[in-house]
Amino acid sequence: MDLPQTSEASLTPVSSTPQRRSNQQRRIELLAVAAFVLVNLLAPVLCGELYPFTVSPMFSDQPSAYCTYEILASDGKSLELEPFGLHLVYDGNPPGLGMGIVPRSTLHEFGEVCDERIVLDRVRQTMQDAAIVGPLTVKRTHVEGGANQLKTTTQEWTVTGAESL
Amino acid sequence: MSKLTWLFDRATPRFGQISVWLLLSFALVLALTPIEFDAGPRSEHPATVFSWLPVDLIRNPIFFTCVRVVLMASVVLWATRIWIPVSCWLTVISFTLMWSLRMENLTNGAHIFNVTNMLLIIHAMWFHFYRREIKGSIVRGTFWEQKSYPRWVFWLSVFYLGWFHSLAGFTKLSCCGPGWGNGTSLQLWVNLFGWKASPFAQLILFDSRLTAVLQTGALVIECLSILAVLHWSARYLVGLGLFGFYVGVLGTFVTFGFHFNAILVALFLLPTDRLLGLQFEQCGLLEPSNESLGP
Repeated sequence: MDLPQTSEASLTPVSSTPQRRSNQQRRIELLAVAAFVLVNLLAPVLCGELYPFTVSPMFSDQPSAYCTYEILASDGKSLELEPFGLHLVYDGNPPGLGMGIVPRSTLHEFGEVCDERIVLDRVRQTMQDAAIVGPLTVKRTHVEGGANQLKTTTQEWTVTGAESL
Repeated sequence: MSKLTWLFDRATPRFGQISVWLLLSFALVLALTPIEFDAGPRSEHPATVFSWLPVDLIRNPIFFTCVRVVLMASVVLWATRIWIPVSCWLTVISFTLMWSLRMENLTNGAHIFNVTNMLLIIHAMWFHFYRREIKGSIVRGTFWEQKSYPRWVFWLSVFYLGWFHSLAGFTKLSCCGPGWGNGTSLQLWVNLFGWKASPFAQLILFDSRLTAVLQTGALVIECLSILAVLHWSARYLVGLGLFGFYVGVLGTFVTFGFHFNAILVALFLLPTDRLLGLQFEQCGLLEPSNESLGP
């Protein structure tokens, strides 16, 4: 292999010839490579989800069903779900993991089918607290695994707000 | 150390420079991403390596804008090989900070920039350690001919891509075991988040038994991804599996932003290296030492 033999030659090498690298330089590079590998192998165990390190947790759960909610005012207008605590905090990642802001509490956990009574009590409570005039229509679509395809059922309740909690 | 001399084999910088430009284009996309702030209390657990910063700074839109400007400027400088390696590390720091600020201020976020971030670090290491050769070749006008791209840069990039995807598989196994790929869960995700008109979504929703095969196949490919570091044939096999998986994912979860990872998988794990003429040459033992010569 054509290698520059003198320090002068190393300053003006043939165009494609790699310059001389000392063993010390190589050791430093190797150390950096080893450190990169080691840190990335250990970080998931030691730090968990800490950007830029990650345990790649997306879609690591195994849901067997999920629900979607819709709340309609008496004029048919769709209302925001967050004030009623029925919003979904899930995008495939475990909620809150590796995120700086804690999501607002919700009854609507992905993969869970919340008890009907708890949902309706929460809606009534919000109506009272926020002085929302009823009646409101609460629609819940429940999707679950069927024989080989998904099975969807829809439930609908009317909440006047006048019922006792 | 003599057993590891292959890591110092070198090639002309074409592949490396294209990789850098690609990564920097992703960094520009991040720099142009709108600022978002979710309301709510801060998490007790650190979310990023910049969680130690004062909350007022983390939630400050002006700081956000400053980081954005620094990122854009450093990207341009690195892309044009000006002020290296300072511009390289400035890009790495501002990129990491930019996405960290996003994660610090939201309740939900995807893992779409971890790979870009780590590959930027690797390529900044390259420009750092080879700055003299690179600067010299720029001055002489021989940048594209000079063999200044060491094999360890390529190998580390393959390692991270493999490890990132293997971790995804291991996390699924640790959460749910091998039964994770039962087909129903994937059908539910596609039904909720997916573009249901796509042929991939139609296929997945058609029959959970077929979906279970696809889902379990994806899990196996993910777990085995780290084997890509062992040999070029393993790399191409893993690349083929992962890229096929990404084609399905991108065709279904259209808005999730996984295309950055998919492009990097195609660049480093598919035979793109051959297409771009990446050929390493042995640089051998350049400097005799007691270690290599023996007693």
